[in-house]
Amino acid sequence: MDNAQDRPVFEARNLYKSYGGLRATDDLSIQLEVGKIHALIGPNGAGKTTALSQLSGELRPDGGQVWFDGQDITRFSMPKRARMGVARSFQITAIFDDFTVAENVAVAVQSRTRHHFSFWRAVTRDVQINKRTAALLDQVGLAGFASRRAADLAHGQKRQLEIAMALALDPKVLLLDEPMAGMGPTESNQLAELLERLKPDFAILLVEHDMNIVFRLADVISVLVNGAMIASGSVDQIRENEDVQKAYLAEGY
Amino acid sequence: MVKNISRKSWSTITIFVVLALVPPVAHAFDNSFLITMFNRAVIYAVAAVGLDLIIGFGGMVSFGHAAFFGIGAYTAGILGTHAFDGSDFIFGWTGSNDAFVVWPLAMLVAAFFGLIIGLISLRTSGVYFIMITLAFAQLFYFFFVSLSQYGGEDGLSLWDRNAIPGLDLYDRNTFYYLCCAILLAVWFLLSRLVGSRFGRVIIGCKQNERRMRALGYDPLLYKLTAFCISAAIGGLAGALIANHSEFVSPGLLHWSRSGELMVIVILGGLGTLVGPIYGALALFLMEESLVSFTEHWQVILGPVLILVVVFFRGGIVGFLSGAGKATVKSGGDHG
Amino acid sequence: MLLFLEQLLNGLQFGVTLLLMASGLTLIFGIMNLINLAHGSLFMVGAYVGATAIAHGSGFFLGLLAGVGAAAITGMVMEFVIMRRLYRRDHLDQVLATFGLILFFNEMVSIVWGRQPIAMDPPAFLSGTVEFIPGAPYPAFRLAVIATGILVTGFLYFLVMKTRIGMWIRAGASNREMIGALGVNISLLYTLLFGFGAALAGLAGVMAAPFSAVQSGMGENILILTFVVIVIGGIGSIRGAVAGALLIGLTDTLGRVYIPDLMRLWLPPSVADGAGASLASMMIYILMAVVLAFRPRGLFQTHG
Ligand SMILES: Nc1ncnc2c1ncn2[C@@H]1O[C@H](COP(=O)(O)OP(=O)(O)OP(=O)(O)O)[C@@H](O)[C@H]1O
Ligand SMILES: [Mg+2]
Repeated sequence: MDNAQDRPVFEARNLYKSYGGLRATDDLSIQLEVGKIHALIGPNGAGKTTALSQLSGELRPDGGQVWFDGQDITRFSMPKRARMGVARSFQITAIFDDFTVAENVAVAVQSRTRHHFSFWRAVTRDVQINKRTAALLDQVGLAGFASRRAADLAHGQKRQLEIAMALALDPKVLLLDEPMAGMGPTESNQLAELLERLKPDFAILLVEHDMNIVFRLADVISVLVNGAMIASGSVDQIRENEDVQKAYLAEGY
Repeated sequence: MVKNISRKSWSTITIFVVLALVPPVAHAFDNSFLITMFNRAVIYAVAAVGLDLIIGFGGMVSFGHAAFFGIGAYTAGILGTHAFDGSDFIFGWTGSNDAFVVWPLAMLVAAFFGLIIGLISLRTSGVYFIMITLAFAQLFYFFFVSLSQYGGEDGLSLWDRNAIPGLDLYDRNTFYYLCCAILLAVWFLLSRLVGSRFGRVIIGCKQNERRMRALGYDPLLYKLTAFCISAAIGGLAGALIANHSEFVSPGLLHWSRSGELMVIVILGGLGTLVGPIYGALALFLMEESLVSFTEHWQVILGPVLILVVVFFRGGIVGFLSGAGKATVKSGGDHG
Repeated sequence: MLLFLEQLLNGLQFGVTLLLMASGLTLIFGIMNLINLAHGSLFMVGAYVGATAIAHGSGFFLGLLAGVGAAAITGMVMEFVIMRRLYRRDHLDQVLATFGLILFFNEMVSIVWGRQPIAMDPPAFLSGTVEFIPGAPYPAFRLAVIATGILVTGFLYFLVMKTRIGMWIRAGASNREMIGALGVNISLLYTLLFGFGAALAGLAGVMAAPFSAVQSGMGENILILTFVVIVIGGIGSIRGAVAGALLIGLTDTLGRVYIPDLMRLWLPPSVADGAGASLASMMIYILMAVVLAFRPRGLFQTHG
């Protein structure tokens, strides 16, 4: 058991991706383990989102591999990876505006159940889906907003909704792209607490700009600059790393 | 919200009651043409309700739905011709006149071509999809124009209406009520469908396809299924119109017919399923009353359409349920 | 061989007409994000007004000017009254409103000119033939159409890629608000642009009039072909529009002439002619399907 926990459940090996002349991902290798939060930091345009998109399967890398659960999933599509247990949230909020909050989560919960070609039974009466949906809303603190239209939520609540949708997939891996972006201090603190609670059960990749949050949550930090990883290590190692300070921390983050 | 839903079911009950009353009223006024006209509207409504499934719920703006309408009609026409003169259709089969054979087959053939068209066009979206579906419909239009052994440009007469044991489809009332029953069934099945798991998925795909993929859904699969269902319903409506007018021609597949179907959907209320029934009645009533004014009635219909699009976005059903004014969406496709 | 060359030129001439239509349509789509079905109506207006003016003795150039001008004015009025309310609407609304416009224009035309097609002769000074390939005299008017099309397209390319107006246009496509902030009157710019696209459609209409019956509904036939051109070429790509227009023009023209001949090789003549003609009329749509099956975003797909 111990052994299995130490092995990375999710791994990227030597990813490359370029847009024209621009190297957006340059020989990136990264490992995620269950029970650990791996923070990915870097200045704007460093290629964090691009990297995450390759991990989630939305973008195909020009070179390199992605492994999950001992399997090469480099050529698997985003939906397929999601079904296997790789969930992501988006930097720019991506929710279903016209659905209610509960419906947003329910459609994610439904994804786990696989019986999508059911044309007759009302999905609103599906006890299994509803129960799980309610539990998830509770978990992220949106229980009171279940029947509100998603578009009408406050920004911070939309971010929480995104997390609930990702959790609904029962994933092993959570790829979170700046989940606290645009949140007030109270809200991001709540979300940080949630992530701490979730941590034991998931392998989490957290892209985040707020260094206080990163230092508080992360077990491992990797620093990305111009698509390349310039440093990776524990919180203390990164704090003291001169390259990192030069390239990144000194900029005032 | 709850109030809205009940208003909507009222509008559904109302329209079917109105449809049911048409024959007695027509007989009272000794105007049997009224039944013929409403029957046409009911058949178009069948196709339009099916179209609403993909436009209103799936977000697939198909501008080529007349193709399925025409394919269904020609299926009935061609099978009927062979059944009538006893000639060979394929593999020694001499066609059929049996509604239980012809109508399902019309649906199946339409769904098959829906599958092919969908496979190619659903990989695109937005304006592309509109143009491609339009072009595919044109392909079938020209196919039937040049299909000289079945009348080519002049079309094809259906010598016998399809037969259902125990029913006389030549009886105006019987055929009318049969079409109404089919409309009711299609409406009911699709109402169930949009509330089902499958419905939830296609509505999700309309709103945010990328999100759906991140949740583990392959949008193409679900959209394609919805597209085929819609095509099959179009095919069924086509078989009905062939029986109604006892004649099929390439005109059924003309691009303006596709436009008309879309107009019916929008006029009645997009994404409501019952709306297209209102839309069909409104369009045909408008046509009949305008024609009595002037043969150039389209010169009035055109601007009316524009006004509806610009000012009454919710269509008739949106207007009836009081939702029409409030729905100023920010443009669906991002510019 | 000579016949083939002649057909090649015919295909080129048809392609040029499509190109004029496609340029206007993509310009409007690319910049205003508007799909305008009534673009075919502008083609029709150009053809009718041009043909009528010439029939009343205006002479060719005045007639051409009248047709182009009428289309441009119609287009600008259309933009001012209706289109500007649709820019921020979704494509479905645009399709329906412009479908309404088509019904209006087609009916209007038959109120004014009647349901019978009218004919237009090529101008006298271009009615002869040119023998620029020895042994193959070719109608001068068709050559003039080809030349005009090439010139206009070249001008268009220059305008969009090399001038200040073009810069505004291209910037407007990506950022409406910014252009507004630069102090350019954006709604005026849009009206003028729309008028310009309409003028191109009108020009195409007048130039196509001698080859086809001028009648109600003529605009939609060419509009749908133009859609095929755009779909094949790739939306928003000038090179794509050129390639698509030539491909469709040539395929359609050559297909109609040679496919029946080809079919005769392995089918009895009576069957071959029927099947060949039907295949020829479907050819471009089949071509489109094949292209899309391999390149869903067209031959010259743009990013995004
Ligand atoms: N589709 C694309 N085409 C061309 N260049 C792109 C594309 N997507 C991203 N880029 C470029 O790749 C680089 C990395 O972008 P990315 O969005 O991954 O950065 P990021 O680290 O997530 O930045 P931020 O902190 O702002 O979210 C940027 O220079 C960006 O401009
Ligand atoms: Mg980013």
